[in-house]
Amino acid sequence: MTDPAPRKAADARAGEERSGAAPASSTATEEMDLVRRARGGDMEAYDDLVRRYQERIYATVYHMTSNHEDASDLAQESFIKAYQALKSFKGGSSFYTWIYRIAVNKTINFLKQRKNRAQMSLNDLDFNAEHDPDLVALISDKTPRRDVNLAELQEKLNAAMQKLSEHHRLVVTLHDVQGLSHEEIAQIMDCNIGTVRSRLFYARQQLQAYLSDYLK
Amino acid sequence: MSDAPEEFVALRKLLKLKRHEQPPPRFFNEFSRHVLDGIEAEREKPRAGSLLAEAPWLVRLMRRLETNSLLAGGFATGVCALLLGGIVYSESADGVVDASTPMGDQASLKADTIGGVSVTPVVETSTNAVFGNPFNNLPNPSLTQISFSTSGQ
Repeated sequence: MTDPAPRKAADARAGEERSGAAPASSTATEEMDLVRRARGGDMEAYDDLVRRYQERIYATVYHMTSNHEDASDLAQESFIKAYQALKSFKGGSSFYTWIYRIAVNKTINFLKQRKNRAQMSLNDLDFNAEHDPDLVALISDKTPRRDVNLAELQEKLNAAMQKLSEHHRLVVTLHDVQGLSHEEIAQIMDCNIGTVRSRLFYARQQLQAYLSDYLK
Repeated sequence: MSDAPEEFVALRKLLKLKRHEQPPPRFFNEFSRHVLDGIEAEREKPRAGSLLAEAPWLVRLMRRLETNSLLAGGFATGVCALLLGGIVYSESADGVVDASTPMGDQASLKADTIGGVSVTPVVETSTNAVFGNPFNNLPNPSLTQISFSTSGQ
């Protein structure tokens, strides 16, 4: 274990990097109002909730499956299931955590059934990837695998991710890709922070070993 | 065990690549509409859905069959055995009925006739009523004589 200060800083930075932060208290009230209205059958309110979280839920499922079609279906099914179970949502956690849990459980069940039938269907990289200095450095002339391009690197990375167990892949996805804090991940995975940290460490070690040729 | 920023630096840089993976353009424009359509479709699902909701054991059984191929194979074998057993039983039951009403036993049949028309109700005693015997259309002399005795006319 290391000093908690840099860890907190890392979490804060990760929070800034993510596509959207967890709802603050003001938006949490607004969110609960939307949940109440959706529970009463207001589809417009539920539409609003879906739009708030669709990108993050889709991204989580996509990074877990490495397959756009599966991710699209699973993300939609998660929101449908959440709507049907809205009456059982007591508000003990935020809607954000709750919908994440539904999507994550659904995805893990799906992956267990899909075992050995994994087929990647990767999304295209956006325009910014080519201009990201960190990524450019990975495929520059100075690296041992300078013949590799970003698309190949993307494929290798996804293949390595698929070698991890579902829980290890989930921790890496939520923390290193989506930028959630250890606390948020612990809530979503319904485990303690220590478990999240140890899973993250082990998953990174595994990934580092799988991708050693591209990380020198 | 540590997740300090200085560790796994290259790996974390590489993982940034995943943030650049984007679904097709306009994918999210249609996403929530698909979700709402899905909710509507679930509402309109026929009563089969509610039957499953009322019988959670059936849902559990189906899930286990989906995930456990050995169990699914055993279940299918069992169903086939039951079906075959039913057919064999049905055939043997036909044989019992025929034996109990020999063709030559006209006296007992006549006792049930008034004015030459049988008053004995035609009752199927075999399991054919349940299983729907495909051989029903074939000529069966014993059953013909029981149902429509017109002796004396």
